[in-house]
Amino acid sequence: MITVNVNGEARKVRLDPTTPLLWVLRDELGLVGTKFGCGMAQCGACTVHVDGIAVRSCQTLLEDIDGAHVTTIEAVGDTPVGAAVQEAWLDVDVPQCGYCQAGQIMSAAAMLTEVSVPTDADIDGYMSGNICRCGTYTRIRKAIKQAAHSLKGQGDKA
Amino acid sequence: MTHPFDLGAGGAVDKHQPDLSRRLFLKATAMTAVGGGLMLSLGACDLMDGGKAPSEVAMIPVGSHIMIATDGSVTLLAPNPEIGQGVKTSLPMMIAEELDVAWDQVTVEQADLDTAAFQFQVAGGSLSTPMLSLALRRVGAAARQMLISVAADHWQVPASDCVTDAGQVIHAPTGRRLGYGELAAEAAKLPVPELTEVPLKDSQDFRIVGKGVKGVDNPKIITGAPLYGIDVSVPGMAYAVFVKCPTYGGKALSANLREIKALPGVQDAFLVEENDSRPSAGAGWWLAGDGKADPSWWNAEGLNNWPDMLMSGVAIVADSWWQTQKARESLEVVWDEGRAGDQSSEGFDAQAEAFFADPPKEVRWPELGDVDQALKESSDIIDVEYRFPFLAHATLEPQTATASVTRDTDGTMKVEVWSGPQLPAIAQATIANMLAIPEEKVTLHLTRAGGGFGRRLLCDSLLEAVWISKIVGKPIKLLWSREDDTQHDFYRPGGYHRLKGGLDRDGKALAFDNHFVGFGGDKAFSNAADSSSPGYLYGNIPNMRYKASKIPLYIPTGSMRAPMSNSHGFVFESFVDELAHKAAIDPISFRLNMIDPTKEAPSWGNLTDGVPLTGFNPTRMRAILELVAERSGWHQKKLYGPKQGQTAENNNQPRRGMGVGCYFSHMGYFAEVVELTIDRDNSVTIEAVWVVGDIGRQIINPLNAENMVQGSVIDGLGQAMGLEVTFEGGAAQQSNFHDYPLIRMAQSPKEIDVHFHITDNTTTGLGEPALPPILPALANALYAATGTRYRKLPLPIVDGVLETDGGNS
Repeated sequence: MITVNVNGEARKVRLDPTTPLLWVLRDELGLVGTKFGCGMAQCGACTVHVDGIAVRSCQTLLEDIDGAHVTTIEAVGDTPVGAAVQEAWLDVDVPQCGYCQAGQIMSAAAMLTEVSVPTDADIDGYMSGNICRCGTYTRIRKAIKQAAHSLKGQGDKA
Repeated sequence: MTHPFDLGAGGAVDKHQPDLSRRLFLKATAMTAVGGGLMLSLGACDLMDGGKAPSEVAMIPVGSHIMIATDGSVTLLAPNPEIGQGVKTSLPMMIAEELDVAWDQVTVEQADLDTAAFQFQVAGGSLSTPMLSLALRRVGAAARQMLISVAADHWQVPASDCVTDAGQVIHAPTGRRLGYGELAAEAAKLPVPELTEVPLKDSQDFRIVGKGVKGVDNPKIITGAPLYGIDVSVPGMAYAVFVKCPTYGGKALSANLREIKALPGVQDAFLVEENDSRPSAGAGWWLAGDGKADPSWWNAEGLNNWPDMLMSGVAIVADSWWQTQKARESLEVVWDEGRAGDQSSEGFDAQAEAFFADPPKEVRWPELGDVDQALKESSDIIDVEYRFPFLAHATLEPQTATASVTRDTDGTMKVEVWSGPQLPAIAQATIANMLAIPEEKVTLHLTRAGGGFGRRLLCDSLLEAVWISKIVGKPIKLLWSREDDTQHDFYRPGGYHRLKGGLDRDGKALAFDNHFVGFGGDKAFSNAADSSSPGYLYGNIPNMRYKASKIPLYIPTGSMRAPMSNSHGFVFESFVDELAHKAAIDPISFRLNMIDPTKEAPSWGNLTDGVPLTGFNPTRMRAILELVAERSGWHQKKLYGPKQGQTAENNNQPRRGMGVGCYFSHMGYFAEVVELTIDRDNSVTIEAVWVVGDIGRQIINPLNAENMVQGSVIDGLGQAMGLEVTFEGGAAQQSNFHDYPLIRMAQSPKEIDVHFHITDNTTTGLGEPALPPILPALANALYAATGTRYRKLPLPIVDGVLETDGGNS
């Protein structure tokens, strides 16, 4: 029995320790917001935060996250950065089919905790692991900058 | 079979399809509200909302698409499959507009497949908007009229004295008001008005249509709420994978099933035989007829056009999908590869060269004038070869379906399926055929799809899920791996062109001779492997010959976003560019000189009521070419031609170029310009893209419309800069995104300027027509920047770096 801490809750799972975190989240814990696109960390649809760091959950094994805190798309909005990203995503009408967007948001939120005012080059780099088949990149870029601006405004007021 | 999606480029369409407005009637039932909160449609959304409590307020159906609660809140059913093209938002917008409710009073739910209640539940061909705009406006207007008549009757006043506003009926002379919620129960009892006679709003009075409305599912998408086929969960469900032969059409002879069944979590493993249950043609191409298709048509000469069937393979069923994947690693199957085993890209290329050595046999388009004589008289000739590859659809959500085959109370078999097919009526009929049950026993819940692009036109993954559920006797969630998805596609077909063009002394195109080598057999091209019409070249170049040859192909091909146009657009628009540069005339002016404004192609029938099928209209194309020139600064910047003697070595400045492409497809007109720079280290930056489109008089949802154009541009750029599927032993050599590299953030343009040129024409669709021009625009800009002509897709730009300066003809 392995205990995983997901979105602030300790969950016990009885699974092969080499099960990828992606499938623990989706099939075992019913958290289907994190998506499957490739299974080899090429597309980024499976991006979650492990102790605040963006990781590809399809290549992260259950045994690797023992004792770590996992945050998924279902809970990232509880943080100011996550909430700001989600609000910008809505405001800019980012999604097309929407399938990649949870992963995009998780990567963007992780970037904004490290780089508060990202340049285009920062965005190109940090978001390089997230594929959007529908081509929403121009709006993702715009939403990231908008979220950064909004967070800066909140920071200035604090 | 004439291709249903190639409308814009002058292709044929089934002229016998029914006029939708007669079939789309409003079914007002006598059903009144039932106390206790009855939700009327138990669709996928209900299942996946984690047991959302039914509304406390009773919902009353006023027709098939509209439910009005007693408190005045409105639920609209979005009839068509949502694959990212935005119809789940835009189609209900049209109902809401004519119903005359405020958008914030509206909740949208996805409709399930219901061939009696909803017409044309299709995602494809850029057709939802032209097929359904008028019909759905009439649905909203008819319900509004019924609500007015209840109020008028209540007040004992003429209906003509009543108006509506944001969900209320108002008696204008006295100001009395009644909300739709108070009127719905009585309205639901009324007979339906004649739909063609209900008055519609003047577009000047639109308050929803033509305003930007954000995607109705966005709040769920950004918080990870269940929405997609892959998110479906059914009690008691097991997970399955279906392993097929890498060589297309191969049959599973035996496998180490006993060993697999002993692996952790595995519930069952078994062989599945090929099953062809494709239905016969129906009243419309998106519908199925009774019975099964004649296999001789589908399988002419062993070619498998439209492989919408259960293939031979091995099913593994387990407690979790991960366990099926682990078990799969140990699976050993003996396959009979079949006839596709000899097919390879190398072989195709060799066959194309052999065909080019001989005169082509098959006439594709009727000859004009005397090409050979015109070439003799030409003062300038170009003789070039173009080619484009096979492509995979690569929807980010792999193919998936959940199915539950059970017994009805009378012991007969029935099935419930959750998936996101683009042709759900065909899927239903095929499943019914396969199980030998009536269609009414097949319930299809439509889930949101993580991309379609034409891949989900096939219902193959649904058939697999259903079959496996039938065998194991429990609900099955079937999911393809990315490798399955890449290697069991029905591919955008490749092709080769040998083109000759002749110019007179004044730089006017005199002659056009095209030998197109595609894929197919004696009787027909492989699915979607035919060539488009040459568009405006036809008739504007006085001497033309267009013939074809076909390479036999036993690997399936099919429609991908803007079928045929997505590849031939690159060829024709690059070819026109070559003529322009030979004539030393800038490529936009050259096109304007060529496109005769008096040569409008005739209309050739109606798509549906109110939607004429118009042929190529030169005025519309000329207008957007002029606009895109203006908006991009084409004539001012003068970046459209290579500078003499400029190479990376002898010039310290970045090389700059602008290129244009224009195309008419899916009834829409698009002209696009790319501006790019190439640094000394050969890194390519797409500085800007300008798009001007004409899709008629009314953009339904301007937010989504701009989004769709941006997406089309990025899709096309991504195809041009790195994508190809190659074959060896009849199997695709690519398998995942490491070797099929979809475009990423860094290679996408930062600016895409989108402008819609509004003309007084019927509004047409936007899923596809913005894609074809971007590929030649990019290739032409590359020529302008480098002086090297690239005649092969994909262009040699890898991770944003131009690999060679030597051209790739």
